[in-house]
Amino acid sequence: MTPYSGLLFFYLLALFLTPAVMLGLMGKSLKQYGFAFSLVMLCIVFGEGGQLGWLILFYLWQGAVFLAFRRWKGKRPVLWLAMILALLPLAFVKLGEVWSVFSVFRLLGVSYMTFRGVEVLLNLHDGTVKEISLFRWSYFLLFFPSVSSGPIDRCRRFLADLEGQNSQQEYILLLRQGVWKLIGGAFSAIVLSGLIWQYWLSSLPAKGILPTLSYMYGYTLFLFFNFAGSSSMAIGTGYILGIQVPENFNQPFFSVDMKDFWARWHISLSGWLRDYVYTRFVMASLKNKRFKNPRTASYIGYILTMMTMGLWHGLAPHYLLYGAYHSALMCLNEYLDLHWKPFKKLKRQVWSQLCCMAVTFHLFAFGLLIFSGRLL
Amino acid sequence: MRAAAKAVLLPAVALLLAISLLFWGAGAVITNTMPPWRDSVGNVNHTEKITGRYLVEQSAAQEDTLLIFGSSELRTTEISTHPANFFAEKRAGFQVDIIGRGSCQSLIHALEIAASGDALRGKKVVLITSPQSYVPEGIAPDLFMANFSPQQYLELLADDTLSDEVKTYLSGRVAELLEEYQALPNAAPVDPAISALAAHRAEPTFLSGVKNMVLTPYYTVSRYLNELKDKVSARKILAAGEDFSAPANLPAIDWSAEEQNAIAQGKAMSGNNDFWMLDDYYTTYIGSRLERQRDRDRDLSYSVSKEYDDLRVLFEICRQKGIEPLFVHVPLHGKWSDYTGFPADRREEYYQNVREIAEEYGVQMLDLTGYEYEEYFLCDVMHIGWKGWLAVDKALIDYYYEG
Amino acid sequence: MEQKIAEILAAICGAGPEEIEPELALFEEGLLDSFAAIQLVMELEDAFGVSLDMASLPRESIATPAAIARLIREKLG
Repeated sequence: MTPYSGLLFFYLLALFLTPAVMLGLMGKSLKQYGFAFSLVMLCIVFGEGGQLGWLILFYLWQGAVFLAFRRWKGKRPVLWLAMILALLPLAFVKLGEVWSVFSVFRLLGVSYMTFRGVEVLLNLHDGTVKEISLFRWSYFLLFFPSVSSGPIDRCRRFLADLEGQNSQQEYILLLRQGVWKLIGGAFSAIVLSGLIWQYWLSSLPAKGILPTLSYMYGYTLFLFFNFAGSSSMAIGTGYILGIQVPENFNQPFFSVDMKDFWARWHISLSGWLRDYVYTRFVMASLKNKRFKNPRTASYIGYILTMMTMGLWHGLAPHYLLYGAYHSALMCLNEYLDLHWKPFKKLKRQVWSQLCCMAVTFHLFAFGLLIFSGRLL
Repeated sequence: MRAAAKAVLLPAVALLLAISLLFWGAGAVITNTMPPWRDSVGNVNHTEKITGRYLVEQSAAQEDTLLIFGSSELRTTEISTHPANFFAEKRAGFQVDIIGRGSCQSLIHALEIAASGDALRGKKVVLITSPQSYVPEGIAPDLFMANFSPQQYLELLADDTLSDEVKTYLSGRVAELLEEYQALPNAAPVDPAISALAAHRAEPTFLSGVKNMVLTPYYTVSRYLNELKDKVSARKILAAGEDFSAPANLPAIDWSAEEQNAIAQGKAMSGNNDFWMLDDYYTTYIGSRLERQRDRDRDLSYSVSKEYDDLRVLFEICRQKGIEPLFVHVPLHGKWSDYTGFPADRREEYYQNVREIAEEYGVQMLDLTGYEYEEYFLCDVMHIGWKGWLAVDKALIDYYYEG
Repeated sequence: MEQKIAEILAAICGAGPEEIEPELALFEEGLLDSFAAIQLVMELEDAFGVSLDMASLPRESIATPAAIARLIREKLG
């Protein structure tokens, strides 16, 4: 069963959310029920897909890494070792997608769950999360609403929501927003993207320049409605469980350049990578004076970030190319910001701003064309 | 608390009402704007007739339409004696509606007829099965899945005029085949709620009962949406169809002239082999590999098969629906069977098994098994051909006008 | 302190100190990007002798000059 599709899924979702709504309206804590809800939904979805065994194994593996790290954290090599171990299942699944030897490893949502697990480890290492119980860690890792397609929540934000107790009034507000997000998301992910698929993409010939161009526009819209819609459904479900899952999209087609774009598209992923790859790398480089010119650190930081982003989607050549393409665009963007004085002004004046938006849109749409694998 | 009820309950009720209204409205619009039945639709074996309900229901409501439930033999519309051609423009005062394609074995038609509600009650219906269906394990799970309709399954369970035995048997078969299907590599997703329902109806346990209770509202909504989907897909077919009116005075049919024509066409279409088989078929499946097929079927047997039980339930469902069907018993290709080493006595076992079941249920039978060696009777190793269809056509006219 | 912060910001963003108003949205106006934010944090650490762990700093806490001032005051105790 695919999350957020099909009548059966939504029926079960509504059914199992009802007790949460009751509890929330009575002003009770949703912590325990929310966790139970996640477990039940995971059992149904992964059980149907025949992946429950892998999920349990994944959970035990990450749990062992987490517990061991919580006990022996401190030194850098321990962090590195824990990182490698925590990323191992993800690597196996991604390898399995391109190499049949590993193809037995199949786990829905492994990219999302792995990033959540890794984030806890990093926060424990930094000391920004001092103490996290096994229960809270489990709930964060296995939080069902965003298991299959994000958004990637942050552990400190999540834990704060878990601690905070919503009053009846606050819950009613959350509930309303949640329901609207669910309905709006369903409309976007199922109806709009479905229409685009059926009446635009599915009838396009597989070859030719014009059909490919048309595919580029269609696919960009399709992916936006589909992905933003499923994010919205996940966020809505989270709200109903009392967890304010962060937004994932903010009108990405109004971006004036690529940096702006990544602050608006798949925000939870780009924000995660910004904080844990780019910032960490650049900060360390500046402190250790790794490069003569500090800006070099920024360029290399963007390349690292965008290549990680490509890798995170998978090891297939089109994903790597997608990462490389965005690395190049971010470096170009950085170069223009630094060395082309009128750029800043162009991004702010009405007519030139529209041009910037159009250019950014096309750059990104072409990126998605690479991403779709149609070119390779 | 009152404020909370007001803040939540009212919007919730309003939301549910809005959604119901939306679905109900869409349903009403679709239902009230359906195009009427068109005669030409009967002459094509559309998939929607097999996987839905609406088209069969509509054709059953016609005074002058004879429904034929069959399998791959219905495909040979290039042969002029095929009922869809022979009865085109209602030359005998009625027309046929052909329902089925390859792999539509007894179980598929059993489900379909069981799901037809009262549409077929007391109607005349023709049933054809193919010899090659009677392999030991009956219908294969992937072929079953290609024709299985959750809509039909949900409908037949809701039909009070069907006995529990029939529902239990069908549920058992559905559960078993869905499970086997899911074990196949690259199986498409199966609605788990339907699998759960079939398993529950076949062998209820406490747990399956709980599941069933939890899912009952889902089945209700699912039935409604399936019905709408079925109508939407039938609409396009009906809209493109046309009507024929029967000639005021039915022309007499010159059967010997028809037979001469059938033989002439058979000769023209099967020139490249000695087995009276269609040229294309022979080239594709036999041709240069003729020698390798000698004695290939030495171990073949249709003597024991799950298909016999599926045929029994098909007849039983007809009985419960007050249908007195005409069953066409199709022969094997004698000359070809001898060549591939499928012996006559084992062929006879199959013929006899089917005859006994038909007798057991008092089903009227057109027994063509005596025509194994007749030239141009079949059009390939197993499907009815030029003269075979002519024999069927003749029987259809008698059947249509009898009683 | 506000004066000092404005000067640091002006240098990083390439603007005049008088343009840096307390409630200016630094990220949304395109004045700060990821790199400039890192530079800012490092400069602030140097200038006020506080330790701001960049990796754990929420974006909102450096989103406006006023927010930055609040952050520094909090760190100075």
